[in-house]
Amino acid sequence: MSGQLYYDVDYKQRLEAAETLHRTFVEIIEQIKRKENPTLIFPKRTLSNTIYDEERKLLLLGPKKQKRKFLDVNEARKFMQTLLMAKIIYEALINNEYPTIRDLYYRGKHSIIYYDHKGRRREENTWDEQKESDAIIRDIEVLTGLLREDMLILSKEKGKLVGKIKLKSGGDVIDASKMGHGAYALEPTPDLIEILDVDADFVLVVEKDAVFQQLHRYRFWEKRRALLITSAGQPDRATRRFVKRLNEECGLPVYVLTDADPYGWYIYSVFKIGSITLSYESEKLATPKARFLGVSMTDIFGERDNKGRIIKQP
Amino acid sequence: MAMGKSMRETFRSLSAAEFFYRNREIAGFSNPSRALYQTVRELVENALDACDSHEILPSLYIGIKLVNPQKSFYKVTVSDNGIGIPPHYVPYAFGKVLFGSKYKLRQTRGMFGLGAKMAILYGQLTTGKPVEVETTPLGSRYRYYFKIMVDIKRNEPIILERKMRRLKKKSHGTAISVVVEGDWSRAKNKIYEYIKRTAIAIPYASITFVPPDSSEATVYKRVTNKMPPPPKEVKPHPHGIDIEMLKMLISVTEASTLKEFLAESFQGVGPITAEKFLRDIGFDPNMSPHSLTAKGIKALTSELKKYNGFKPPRADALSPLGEDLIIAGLKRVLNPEFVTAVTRKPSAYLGHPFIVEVGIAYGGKIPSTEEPQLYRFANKIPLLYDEKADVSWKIVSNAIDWKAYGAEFPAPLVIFVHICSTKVPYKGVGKESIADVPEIEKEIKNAIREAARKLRTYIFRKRKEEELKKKTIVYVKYIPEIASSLAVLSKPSNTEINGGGLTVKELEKMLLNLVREKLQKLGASINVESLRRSIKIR
Repeated sequence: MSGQLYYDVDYKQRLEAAETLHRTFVEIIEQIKRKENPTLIFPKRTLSNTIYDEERKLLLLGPKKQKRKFLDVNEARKFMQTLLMAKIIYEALINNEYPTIRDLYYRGKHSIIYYDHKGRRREENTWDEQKESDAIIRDIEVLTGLLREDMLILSKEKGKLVGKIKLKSGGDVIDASKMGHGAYALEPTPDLIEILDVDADFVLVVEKDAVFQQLHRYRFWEKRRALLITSAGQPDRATRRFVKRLNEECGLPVYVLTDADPYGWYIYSVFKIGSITLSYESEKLATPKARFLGVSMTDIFGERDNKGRIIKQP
Repeated sequence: MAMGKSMRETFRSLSAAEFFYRNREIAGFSNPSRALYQTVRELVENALDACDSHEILPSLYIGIKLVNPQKSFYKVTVSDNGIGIPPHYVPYAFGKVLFGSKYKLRQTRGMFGLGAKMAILYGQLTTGKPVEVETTPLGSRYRYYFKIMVDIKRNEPIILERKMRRLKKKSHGTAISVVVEGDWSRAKNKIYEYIKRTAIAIPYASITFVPPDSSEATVYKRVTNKMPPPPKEVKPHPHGIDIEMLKMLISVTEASTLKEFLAESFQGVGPITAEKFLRDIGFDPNMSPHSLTAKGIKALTSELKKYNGFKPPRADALSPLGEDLIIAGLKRVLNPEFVTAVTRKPSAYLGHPFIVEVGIAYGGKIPSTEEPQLYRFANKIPLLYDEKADVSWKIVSNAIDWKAYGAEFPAPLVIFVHICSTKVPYKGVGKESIADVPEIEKEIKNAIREAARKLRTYIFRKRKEEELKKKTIVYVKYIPEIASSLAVLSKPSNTEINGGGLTVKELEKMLLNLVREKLQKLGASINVESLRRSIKIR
């Protein structure tokens, strides 16, 4: 019964995503029928089109649009890649599959064998590296307004959670305080998680898995009534989304603990205001109210002395 | 003609045959390799002249056979379908030096008709074998056969054998076989090259060549029935005169006055011009030409060369190939993708009329080389040796910036340069390269530039087309993926509804149409369907 329920939640999501894709590309077919140059129009995902919204304190996608045309020598390849990726995602949705982004990369990787203008035999891959197909997936997200998760595309999960919280995922009820020395691995579709019950005062997000393990075995979460989460390095989308839900749905304050280096600060900024590559998702992923807990240089070395030197030996 | 006169004087004391034998390097018989090449060349040119000057489409057979491997004796046979030789002339035509039909002032391949005799002499002296001649003159029903040797001291023919037989069918032509000491392995490349270039210059000839080392014949089939008009005989032009020639003309003239002599013996000079000229230079127009002193002849010669009042030399004596024949010849031998030709208007240097013709062949089966491939011809004869000394080479390699005409080396580029003149200004005695005569140099330069401009138009248009094709391929190569994607995406997402959507085939057709229409707007027609067929997805 619970399996059926879980299927139903997915099924609705599937139909919606598939319908959106279908509608988007039927428009391309209409353009072809009208003998127009088939053109995909979507927001530009570039640094120059990423803006920081002072008011909402988020990195957002700007208003610039990009046109990807079939009959444009510089765009034709990407146009083909976009359609190919859309097709694979569409097929996966219809066939009740949960592909990962790596799956999609492999499914779409073909060799096109052709003869160039001088009659030489050439081979070209639809895409060479996963970086290329990943970028196309992001293009489809902005093109359709559907997020990866909405299209039931999975990625390798990295985020972990322990603490007094009960969740419902895939029809099962999970108690994250009864995971032993392990932890609950945050699933790639965090919006399909139902939060049943929370008994905590705040959320502590730690960058390092090693720190997480330490705090977990010390049972920090129990002693301080905290939900302990790690992103194990650069945070993935699911971790960010779930942290935001805890902050906004459950009203829990979020503190971020990172290494005392630029990467640490960057990870904090990604949790707080979003990233450039995924700026179109900031509204869903960023937690503007997150606070920086540390570690800072002064935590280690103390305040600057009046001569401007950093170091003051303890 | 001046040469003829002076030589005749020399030969009074020295047998003509002996003279030529002593000077065989001049005639190109310096070693067995060169001699074999030269023998082929002389016999072929004689054969072509026997057809050309009487407007017969030549059919040539050239055979080289190794008849004595120990001594490297080769039998060279060349047969033609020319006018043939009247039987009573045969012994003299082949057995006595300085007898022939080429003593007139018009463009022929060899000026003196001596080359073939030189080959006979060379053969006789190196192998001791006689020349064999078979001939059927125009209109005759008999084939005449001769075996002849030359008595070198007396310069008289020795007839070893003579036969005749009645022919069942009408025909005409001559076949000559000479046995010479040769060196096929060294001469091979030059002989093949000579025949190839002859085939280019004479597209209206069919040529069959059977070499000694293979049973395979090289055959160049006739590709056109058009022949250049035969050259006409003309009188000398006063600008091209020299003292010896003037003396000779005076010795044969029947004119009683100098004025009459000039008007009758020269082209470009009428009685009025003659009188005006003579008065201008202080000569009595009514004096007898025979009363001119040596000093007077000398003065008259230099005045004739200088005077500007004569009409320019006439080009009637010239027989250019014409643009069509050059194109046909280059096409049949080289299979280029582009060919063009230019025949310039007649021009003159020192009173000798000349015409420069240039052909350019590019691409196709022509191999790419680091330098232009130059094919030189003088009066339809290919020039194979001393290329770098030739005025054409100077122009082709230095004066022309090929890059500006779209040819970037290594390039598949052949330049054909033909100079026809009543007097080709050869450099040196080898007659293999043409001297830097300013008038000729200028004409060659202009002709090459004119032809090269057409090449440039072609190459640039082709480049543009290639660029367009390159672009088209970019679109077409993605069509299979795009069509198959759209076919899937076109089907409704609700899998319970069957049907709807478009097939891959329908979509491919629409996309190909789109590409075709885009090309049409750019004024290009590329077969997009055939491009599509060559694409595979794996």
